[in-house]
Amino acid sequence: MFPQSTVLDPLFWMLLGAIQVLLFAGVNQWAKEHQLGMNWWKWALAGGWWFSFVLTIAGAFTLLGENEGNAGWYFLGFAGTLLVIAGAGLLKVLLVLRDKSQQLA
Amino acid sequence: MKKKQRKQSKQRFEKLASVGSILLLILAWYLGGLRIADSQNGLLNDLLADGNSLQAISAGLYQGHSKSDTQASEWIGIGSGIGYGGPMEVALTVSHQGEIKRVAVLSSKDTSSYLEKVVQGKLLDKLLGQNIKTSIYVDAISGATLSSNALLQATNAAADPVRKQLFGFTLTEPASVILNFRWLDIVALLMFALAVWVSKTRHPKKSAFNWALLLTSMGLFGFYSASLFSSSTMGIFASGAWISGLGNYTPLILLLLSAGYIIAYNKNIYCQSLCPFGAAQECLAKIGNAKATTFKHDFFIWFPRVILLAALCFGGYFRNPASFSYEPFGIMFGMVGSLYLFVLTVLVVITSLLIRRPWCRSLCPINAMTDFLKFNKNWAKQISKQRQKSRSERAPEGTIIATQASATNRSEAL
Amino acid sequence: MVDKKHSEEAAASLSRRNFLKMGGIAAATATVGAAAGAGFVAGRDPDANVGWGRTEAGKDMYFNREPFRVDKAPCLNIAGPIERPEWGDFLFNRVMSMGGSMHKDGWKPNKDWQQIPDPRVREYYSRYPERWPEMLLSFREKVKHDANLEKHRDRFALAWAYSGAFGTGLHSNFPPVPTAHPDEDDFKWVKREPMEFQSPAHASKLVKQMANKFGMSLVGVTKLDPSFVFKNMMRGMPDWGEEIPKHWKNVIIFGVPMNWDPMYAAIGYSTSFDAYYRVKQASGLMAAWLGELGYAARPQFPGADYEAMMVPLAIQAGLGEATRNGILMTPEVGPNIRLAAVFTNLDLEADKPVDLHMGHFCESCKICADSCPSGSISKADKPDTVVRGYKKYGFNQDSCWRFWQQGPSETGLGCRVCIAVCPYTRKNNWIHALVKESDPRDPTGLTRNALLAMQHNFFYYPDAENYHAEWSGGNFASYHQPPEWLRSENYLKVEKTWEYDGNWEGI
Repeated sequence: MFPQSTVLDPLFWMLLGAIQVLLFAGVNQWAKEHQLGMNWWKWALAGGWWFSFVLTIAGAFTLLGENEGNAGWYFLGFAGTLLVIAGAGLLKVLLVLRDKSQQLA
Repeated sequence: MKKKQRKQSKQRFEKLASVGSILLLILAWYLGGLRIADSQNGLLNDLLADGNSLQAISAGLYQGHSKSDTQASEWIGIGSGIGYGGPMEVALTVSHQGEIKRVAVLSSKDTSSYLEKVVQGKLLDKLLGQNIKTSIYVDAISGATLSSNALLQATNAAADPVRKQLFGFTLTEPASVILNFRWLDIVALLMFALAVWVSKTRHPKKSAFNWALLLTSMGLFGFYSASLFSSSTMGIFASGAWISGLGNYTPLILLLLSAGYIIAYNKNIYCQSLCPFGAAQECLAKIGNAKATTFKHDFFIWFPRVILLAALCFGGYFRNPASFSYEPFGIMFGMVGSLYLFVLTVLVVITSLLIRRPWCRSLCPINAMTDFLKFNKNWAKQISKQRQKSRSERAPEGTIIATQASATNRSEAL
Repeated sequence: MVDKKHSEEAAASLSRRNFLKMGGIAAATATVGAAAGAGFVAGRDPDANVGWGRTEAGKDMYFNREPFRVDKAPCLNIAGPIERPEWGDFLFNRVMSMGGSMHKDGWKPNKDWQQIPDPRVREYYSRYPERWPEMLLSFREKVKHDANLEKHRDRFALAWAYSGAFGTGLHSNFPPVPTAHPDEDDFKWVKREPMEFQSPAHASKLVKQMANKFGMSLVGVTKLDPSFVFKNMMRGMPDWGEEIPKHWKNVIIFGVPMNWDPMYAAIGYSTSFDAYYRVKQASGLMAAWLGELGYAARPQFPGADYEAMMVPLAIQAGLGEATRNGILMTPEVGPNIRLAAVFTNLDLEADKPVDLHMGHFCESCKICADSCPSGSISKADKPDTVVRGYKKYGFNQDSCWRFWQQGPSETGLGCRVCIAVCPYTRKNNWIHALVKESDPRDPTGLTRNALLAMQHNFFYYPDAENYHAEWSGGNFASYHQPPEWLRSENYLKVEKTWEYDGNWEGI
């Protein structure tokens, strides 16, 4: 975020890392409340989705930053839409699997 | 009593709007005719080298000569090819040796973003310098095959009169309209018949059949060929451009079948079982557990009607119905269209996860068309009934039946 | 009592849970914002400007070529008898000779190339008679260029000043142009007996580091392949045959990109002189350094001081591959590279050429050919001509030169549009680095096709004609709009009467 700053840049990345811990702790609470029964592969999928989503936004804005405005917006619209759909699909899978585990229990 | 009065006044307004929109369309068409009357000659003069004058030799053949020299310095041929929206006219400047010097598209009825793709793909550049002694061929620009082929066909047709003049032979044969029919058109007929069957059957797996139809259609008429119908197809039909041939008849066939079925049976089966974009929205709704919401406000009924009318009027005025389409279909199924359409498409796609078929419920021109057809059909029915009744005593139910029918239209269309 | 404690605990755990839940949402929002912000500054990061950032540490050459080394360059396809280039094959030789004939001898060029006074120039046009009309046109276009140029000084003043400053530096006499026989001239800086290196590998390693110290981004070493040495051409010697001096054994070849933001704003705002100046200086420094250690050195540098062709030598040294537009394409900076070299008798370990599948990339991309304002680049699907025995894409150097003369640069030299629009000409930020690292490693070509689909559909390219100056039918378009520091309206007392056509940040 602060590429030429010797102080702010490392601080920023540390803070961003710390925030991710909070984020996953929060997601864990939501998952528990909705009884999603998260296991390793569910976490991997959710984490992978989040990582791709953040990278897509960062990528689009990198293009904007280097004066590739057209490409940046199209990339955000295209990859972003696909990811939103994939995210909705993932959520659906998680919810469906919850129903099953509840019925079994 | 008051309710009835309000209904009657509303109906009077709708009748007025129906007649008014037809009149507006005719007016736009008429004004457009005045506009283009003299623009073609100007274009041809632009094609000539500086200081040369133009002389017509025969149909589709002009001669350009410099003022000092009476001998022809270059030849101009005009020909047409069949694109997505109908005929495309091209003029060629050809040197004495038969080399193509300049190319200009005089008129086109194709969607401008497709034509732009052809121009950006440098198809015109590749034509320059080719010799017309042999048939002219360059590879079509992928993603805009119809427009590319139309341009090529028109170029060859335009070269023919010059060929005859310079070398004494022609190479193209007048294309037959029938030849333009393709296997996809037959599939369209078949799919429509299946859709009719599905809508009537009481088979327990009815909804599964409907899904199968929707998905097939999304693949075939959507992602494979992008040949779903839109406001531009309506414009093409109304303008009569299809009589002289179309690059792709599939959308028109789907439109006519759907419209015909609506008039005959008051039922829109295209949206329910065939529309590729509807299918895409349904899939997204399944993924996102979207709710079925109805937008009850009058705005959502009248806004798409006004937009459709405007698009058709502009299409008529500029004699190019295909360039005023505003649907997200091109972006969705071929990544062709402006940045604004791209944004609209993204919005519709994401909303589809939350609301079932948001496009169908808000802006789709097909609802407006369905309403228009049903309203006028009922109006006609009502008039003929009233005539019958007045002949054989009187019964006032006619109007009520008609308004009821009109009110149920929208829910059926969805 | 117990009950109360229980409920307190429950309340505490509830509030803890709520905190985590809300905190998670806040963290997600913050992360999205941070991703956008960090992405944007990564795009703006000056450290991404290879060659103009971390050069001195040798960190410009960040691509690890070792896994890609091959014995024979895949792009140097031999399809006929190898011939050495002629004196007349070198455009600047022809142009300078004809300029001399016009100014000194009063020769007036006309449609008949056979009346060209210099037989060496005539020889070239006897091989390419179809190119003569382009060269003829270039004379007329230069007159038009000069007549119209001053009208646009308000707009381009800062760009001309930037270019002109480097131009003045470039035309200073360091390194000096050879004036004597190479057996004498190449040893002019040797003061003592040669110091012996521990091995050729040691020598190569040090020489490359020195190139970095002298400001060069990319450097490679190869044996001098005689097939790329010009015939009948030797600086300092008016008459020369086909002989190649014995002490020209190895080639140290290096390069630096043109400064990025001006280059993206080709034509009017760009210049080759910034990179020319730096590589020329480096070639002189390298030659002097070799002399100090007792070795012969023959610098080769731009604008036109060569005895051999740089691009094929750079390919053999593994710096990159051949392209559609004929410029060397490197994995780090694409074709945005300006080369110089030093021939030496120092024993060096040669690098091997690389195979990065760039040939496939060029086959399906064609963006440079479509953007070329003079249509000089072949649009064929595969290399379509054989030049001196090598299969390559056709390139019309005379129409390219014609466009230089009519283009909107101050000197009427250079265009650089094909460099600016190339998808490989991208700064070193994480998205492009990811792509440049993954494409050569993907044997299926899926990466390449996906990238090119995006490249063709998402990116804006001005029309080829729009790159032209206003006086030849364009609107001074550029791939990117010029950087802030080259826009005269930001610093000078001028009235902005123009619009920029090109990519910008889009916000």
